[in-house]
Amino acid sequence: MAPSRDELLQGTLDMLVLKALQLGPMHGWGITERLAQGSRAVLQIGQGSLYPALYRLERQELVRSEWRVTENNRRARYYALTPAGRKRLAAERAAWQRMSRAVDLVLAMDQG
Amino acid sequence: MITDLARRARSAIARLTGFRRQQEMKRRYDEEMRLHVDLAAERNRAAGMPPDEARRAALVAFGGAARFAEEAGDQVRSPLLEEIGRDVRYSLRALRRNPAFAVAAIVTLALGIGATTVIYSLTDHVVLRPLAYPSAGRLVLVREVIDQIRDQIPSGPANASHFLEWRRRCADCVDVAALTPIQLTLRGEGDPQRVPAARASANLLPMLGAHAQRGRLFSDAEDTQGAERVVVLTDGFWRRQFGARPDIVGEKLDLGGLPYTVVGVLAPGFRLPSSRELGLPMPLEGEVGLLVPLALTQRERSTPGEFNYAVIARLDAGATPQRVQSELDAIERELSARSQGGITFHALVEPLREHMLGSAARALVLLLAAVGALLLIVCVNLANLLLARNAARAHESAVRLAIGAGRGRLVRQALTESLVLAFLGGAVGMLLSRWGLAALLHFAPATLPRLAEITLDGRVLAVSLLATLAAGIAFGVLPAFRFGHGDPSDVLRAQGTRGATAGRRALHLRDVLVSAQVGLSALLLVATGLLLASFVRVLHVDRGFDVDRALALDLSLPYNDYRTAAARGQLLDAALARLRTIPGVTAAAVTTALPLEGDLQLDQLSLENDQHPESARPIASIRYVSPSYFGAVGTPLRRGRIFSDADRGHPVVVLSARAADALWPGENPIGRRMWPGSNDTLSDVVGVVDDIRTASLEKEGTLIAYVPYWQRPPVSATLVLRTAVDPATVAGSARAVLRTVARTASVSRVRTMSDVMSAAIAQRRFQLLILALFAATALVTASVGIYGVVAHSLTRRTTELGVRMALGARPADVQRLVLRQGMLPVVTGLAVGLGISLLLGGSVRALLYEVSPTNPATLASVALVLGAVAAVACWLPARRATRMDLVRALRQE
Repeated sequence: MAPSRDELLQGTLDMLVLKALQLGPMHGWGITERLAQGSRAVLQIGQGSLYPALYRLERQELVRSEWRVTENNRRARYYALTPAGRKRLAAERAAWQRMSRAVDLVLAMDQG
Repeated sequence: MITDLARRARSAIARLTGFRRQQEMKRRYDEEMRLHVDLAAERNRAAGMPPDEARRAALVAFGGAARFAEEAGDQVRSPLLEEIGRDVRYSLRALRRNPAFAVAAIVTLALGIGATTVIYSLTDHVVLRPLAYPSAGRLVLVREVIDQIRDQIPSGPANASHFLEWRRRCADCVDVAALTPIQLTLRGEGDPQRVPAARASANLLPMLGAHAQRGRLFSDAEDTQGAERVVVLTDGFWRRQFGARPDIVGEKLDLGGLPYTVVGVLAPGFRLPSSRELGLPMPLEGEVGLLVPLALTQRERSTPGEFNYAVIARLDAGATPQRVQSELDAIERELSARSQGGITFHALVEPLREHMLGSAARALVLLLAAVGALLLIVCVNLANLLLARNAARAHESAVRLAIGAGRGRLVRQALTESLVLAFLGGAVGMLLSRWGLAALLHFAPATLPRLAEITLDGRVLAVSLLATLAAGIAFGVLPAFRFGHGDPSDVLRAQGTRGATAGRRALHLRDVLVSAQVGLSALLLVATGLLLASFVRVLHVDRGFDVDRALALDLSLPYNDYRTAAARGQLLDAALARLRTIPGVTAAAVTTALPLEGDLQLDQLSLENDQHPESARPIASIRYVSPSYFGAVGTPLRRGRIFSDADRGHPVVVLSARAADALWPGENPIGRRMWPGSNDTLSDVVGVVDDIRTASLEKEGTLIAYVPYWQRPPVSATLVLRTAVDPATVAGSARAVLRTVARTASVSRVRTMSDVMSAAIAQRRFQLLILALFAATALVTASVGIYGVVAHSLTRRTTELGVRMALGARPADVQRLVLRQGMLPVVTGLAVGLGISLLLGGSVRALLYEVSPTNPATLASVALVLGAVAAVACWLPARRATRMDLVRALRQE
């Protein structure tokens, strides 16, 4: 079955979350901060999408989570990539780059 | 594949059992959310916001947390129970947002479920559990077929000597029992009272599983002449008559002037089959209150021509009714060979259940089918409403899909909504059914078996709960799948270009639903139309008597006080003379049987020197009447004269037209001589009167020989008073007069002739009333459905219609276009519905009277009515659409 629009949307979010976690284990808030910084505030991920994505990834065993204490001494759930998550990120990233190059090529056609 | 299955199984188990895990997940989720908000607030503060503002902004950003919690919860996979609870809450919220829809849906559902509950409770009590007797499936009713009269009377009750023979010899029967109804006059304090009673063989009550709550049932010894003065009371009679006095057992009751000892009281809840259910020709009014032993007399044992006994047999576990039938038939052949006059008999063995149900069951099954159709129409209508509503909510479903809700989740949510609706409607419907049932029982014919027992009980409510559930699923499934399977991109993109292509499929589906509604309504209308046509024909049948302004009272004389014919004759003479003097009474008459109330005494008519064998002689009802009788009931004279007081002393008879024709085909019977019945004397025929309907309006009556009452004054008779005033107003004075004339006589069953007529059509009227109610509801529901579909499609096509009109289409053109498109599913549904009604017609034939199930006039009227109503339902929104403001229509984009 061809992926439908909403699956593509979900997939993109998943990839971004995995990427954020590649930099090291982090709690939910931290992930949104990393994504916002990384995209120069273009990507504002709402928690309504973020936490469902995190739970989904955890169920797929792409991330794992545990309670830890933050630098400000607060208890927080930290998420970290699993080896499977690492592999998935690499695959998604390759696919994304391929797609993005293709789209760029097409968009560049006019001027060519 | 296998691991996948295993994982699914594990997750299913985890979901059902994982309540603790669920709690844990929820705590984790809450904590993460709290942390998230706190951290966001901290950042806001760091950016320079005042602390309060920082927190508020964080919460706003968090926005709609409750709603997202639902989607997140989907990922968390909460246990089913909790999810269902959440779906229900969500559904209630959605319904509150759209109260008009909710009310419309709940009201139609309540009507559908309420009607189903009421009709089911009727059917359940009358048809589905009529026999609470132990292993009722093995009880059979044995009747007899007399070959020589089977054309007139296909089968009847059994003869006493035959019953005794069967009981002695039937090898496949566990036991054979008999009963026959009688009226007993109970004398105690107050007026003597006639009590419906039964003479039952000692084994009958145990066979039917009766127990005594006090005392005991009959012993075998009491079932013999000389020992039979014992009586068992039913629970109801004991309560009504004796206020449930605990010391009643052992007391003596005066029944018909003889002392009977009370030996027992039956347990509550036991009910003897009524004489109608047993196919006995003597109708008893009211429930049997007393039972006495059968104790056949010597005369009864040896009279070959009396067929008065309902015989019930319990079969051996392995025996079939067919086998017992052939076994009893072998006995019947021997008895036929021994009988005099060449009369031959056959046994007819039928399961008691089938016989007890009779035509009431057929009618109720029709009503059940009708209410099923009605419920289906309601469901189809709701499916249509939901489709329309979900079309309006397509955006919601698209957004929820886009933010990651599973399709299954949406389908389940939509189904939950319809189930919530169904249960709300069902609850209201069950409440309604309480009043509905009360109202219905008020109109129900007294002939409906076990009328008094009909209540809403757990079983009925369980079934209506089931109906509710089924309805919820039936009307919810299609819209739910539509709701969950919209393509979100289509919907989201289609914003702003409404009505171009989106929803084409949905519209088509809704056309199909309209066709279904119309088809089902057509079925209901056809059934109603056929019953109505039958009803009208029954009312206009040539019945042979008048019903206006006549009062009838049953009079019974205690045999001990009026042993001689002379005493009875004098009493009746005196009673008639006195009754005539009551102001308002124009004529007083006596008879032994009223029209429509059945035949009590059937006998053979014989010519003076009859050469025909006895088996070839006509059977007729012999009625003892006064000369005034014919005028009082309005049966017209055809030839000759009515007998008069001048005929006292020499035997005369008046015949019904068919009786005269049977004796002397094509000849003038006046002045000829014949024997009306084997016990009467050779009589001169003085007159011929019209035939009358004797048992029912539908069936041609029996032949009748009218004999002057003074020739054989009866012990019990019916007095008929013709009045110049409302007949009910003279009832009191008639009773008073009779009390002075005959102190010990009892008067019962006071009714007007129009009551008699009403009773004869009550069942028909009842069926018709309910069916007409259903059909009307169906018609209204269907037209609402049609209106809704057309109106909805027009709002989507506003632009199109605007363009058409801008390009010069006149309103009439547009209306014609809309009408044509709207009527297409109607015509389809009508054609299919009428086609099906032609196919199913045979199944209602038994309920019709002189109307063919394919009666073209009925089918045509149904098509006309339904078509006209549907056309109006299409035309109304079309007219509104063509009156809209053109400019606004085009700007609507």
